[in-house]
Amino acid sequence: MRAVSVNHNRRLNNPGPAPSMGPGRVRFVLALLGGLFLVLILRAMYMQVVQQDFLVGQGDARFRRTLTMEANRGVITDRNGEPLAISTPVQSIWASPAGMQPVPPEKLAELARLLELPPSELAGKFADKRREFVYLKRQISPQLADKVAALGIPGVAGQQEFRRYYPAGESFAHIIGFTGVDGKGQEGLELAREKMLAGKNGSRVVLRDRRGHIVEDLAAIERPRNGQTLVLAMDQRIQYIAYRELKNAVELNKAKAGAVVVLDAKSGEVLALANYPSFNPNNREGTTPEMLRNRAVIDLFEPGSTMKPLSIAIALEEGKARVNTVLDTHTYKIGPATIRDVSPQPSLDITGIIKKSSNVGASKLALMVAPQDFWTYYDSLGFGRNPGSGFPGEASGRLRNWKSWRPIEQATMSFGYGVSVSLLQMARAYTIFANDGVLLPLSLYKTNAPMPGKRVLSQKTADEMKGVLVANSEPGGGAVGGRIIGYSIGGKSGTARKLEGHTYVADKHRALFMGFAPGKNPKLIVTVMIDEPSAGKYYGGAVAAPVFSAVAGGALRVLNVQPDEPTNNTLLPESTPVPADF
Amino acid sequence: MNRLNAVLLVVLVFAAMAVVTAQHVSRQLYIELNREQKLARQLDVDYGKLLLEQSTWGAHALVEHAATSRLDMHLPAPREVQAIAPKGGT
Repeated sequence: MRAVSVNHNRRLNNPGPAPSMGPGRVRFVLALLGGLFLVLILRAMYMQVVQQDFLVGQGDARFRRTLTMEANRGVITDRNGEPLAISTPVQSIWASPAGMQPVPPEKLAELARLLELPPSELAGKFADKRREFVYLKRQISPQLADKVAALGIPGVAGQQEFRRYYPAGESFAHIIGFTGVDGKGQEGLELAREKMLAGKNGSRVVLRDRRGHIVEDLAAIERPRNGQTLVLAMDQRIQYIAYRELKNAVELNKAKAGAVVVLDAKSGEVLALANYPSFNPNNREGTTPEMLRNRAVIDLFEPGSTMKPLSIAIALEEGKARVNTVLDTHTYKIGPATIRDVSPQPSLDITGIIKKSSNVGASKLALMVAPQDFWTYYDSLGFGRNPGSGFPGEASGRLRNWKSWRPIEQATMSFGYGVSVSLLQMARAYTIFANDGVLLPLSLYKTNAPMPGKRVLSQKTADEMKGVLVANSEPGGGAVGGRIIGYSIGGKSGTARKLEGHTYVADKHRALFMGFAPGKNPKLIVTVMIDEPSAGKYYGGAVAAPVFSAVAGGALRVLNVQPDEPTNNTLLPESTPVPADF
Repeated sequence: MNRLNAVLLVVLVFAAMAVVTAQHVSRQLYIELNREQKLARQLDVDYGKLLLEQSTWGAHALVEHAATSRLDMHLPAPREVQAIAPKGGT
């Protein structure tokens, strides 16, 4: 203590050769400190100004999260609200092999058992250390995903996805289509109405703490807009009947394919639209493009004799003939071509022409109408035009310009050759008979009020043709095979030869039937097409008509339509001959 | 002047406490809201699943099969059907 004080004193008293504290030195220190401060300030400015975006980004990246709020895909229902397509959440299990610790064998075995995958496959996926992301299994049930999560393997996680289920299965497969694994529509209405069904994902920006809890919303929440519910015009019950009967008929007749369309005769709504072969939209393994084809809408064909009621109607409408006009129906020639009938008759009235399906009669009537008027009429029936149902890939058919027609072409068009149509177009054209001459627009969606149609025929002509078609279903007519016990019907069968290259082949046919029921006050229009029946019978009246009968009969029962011929409805014996029809 | 300051101080303290409480309550409510929203979504999902289940069990093919095979039912043949016209109707 003493020594220190002595020392101290000495220093005070005796500065001796103390280091010079001249002004230069002070300035140097100050400059140094000032310089350091300046560096700090510059650095701060650099970070605040130049690097700000980067730093804010880094901060946000750590605590700020943008969460996607997934919109639910809209439900598709039938007209009675029965669900036809619903999305339910499923989990996809993924792993990130790049940053993973080796998985203990017993856990690997357990995981493999849960996911029903061979352990070797899993081990192989984990071994690929270059991959950051690999799906182990997609679209498993949430319960199973919970079990996987309970295993607690680091680097294995679940991700929510939606899977589409189609409870109605294959009967609706062509109309509804399906979505891909990404949840976007790929076929049918899922594709056509993608925008409406998909909705819009929402998002919210949140601040998360270190434990992952959401602490605060940083921006206004953008709510997800769920997909809208799509209500179809179809009735699941009628669709099921149509599909079942079509399938039976196609298998029974060893046909290549078939299609059925059922329309509401008063509103133009499509109540059923079935195709066979079909596929299972819930499990599309082994589905071929053949099975995906929506034949009723996409396939074009020559409608053959089923065109006759339509072509004859214009002759009546224009006053060129009356229902009781009798025509000479001997075989005759137009230029080099001969028009002949399968069951030739010397003379027939309009009802007779339909009953015997006379090509001669139909063509003679057609040739009474000027080509331009004939074309205008077919055009107004929607032939060669898009039917406007909004179905993807729907066919317009072909109707050539009348200016290039030769008489023989107009003649063949009257009995359904040289013009190509889809089954849906034919069904629509037949609405004129069931609806007092007014052609209705088609609708795949349930309509509240019927849309206004377009008058094509006068009520008188429509009534007359309706009577002729009803008469055609009575004994001796071509449509007896389509009769329904308890109801009257009206209809026309057809058997169209198929065109291969440039010639009509004799052994390949399309059996067709177009009709409405009940005959007196039609509620339904049913059109049937069976492609290449090869089990012996191939006439429309024998192959397609029974399908009409079963579908229309079942549908009338489903719709609780009162039988209009309930009593003394004589059962036709099994042996009733189906008239040859062409 | 001092008196006013004292009053303001008290007000300030209360306001500060109120802010803290409000923040706390807001967090709590927010968590609850999140929970309820999650529940709503879950119920939505369950509803979809039940709809799906219902339509699976109610599928026509299944009902038809059960009716014909287990319950021994059949569609009435035309001979078994008697239609009765409403009064005055046909």
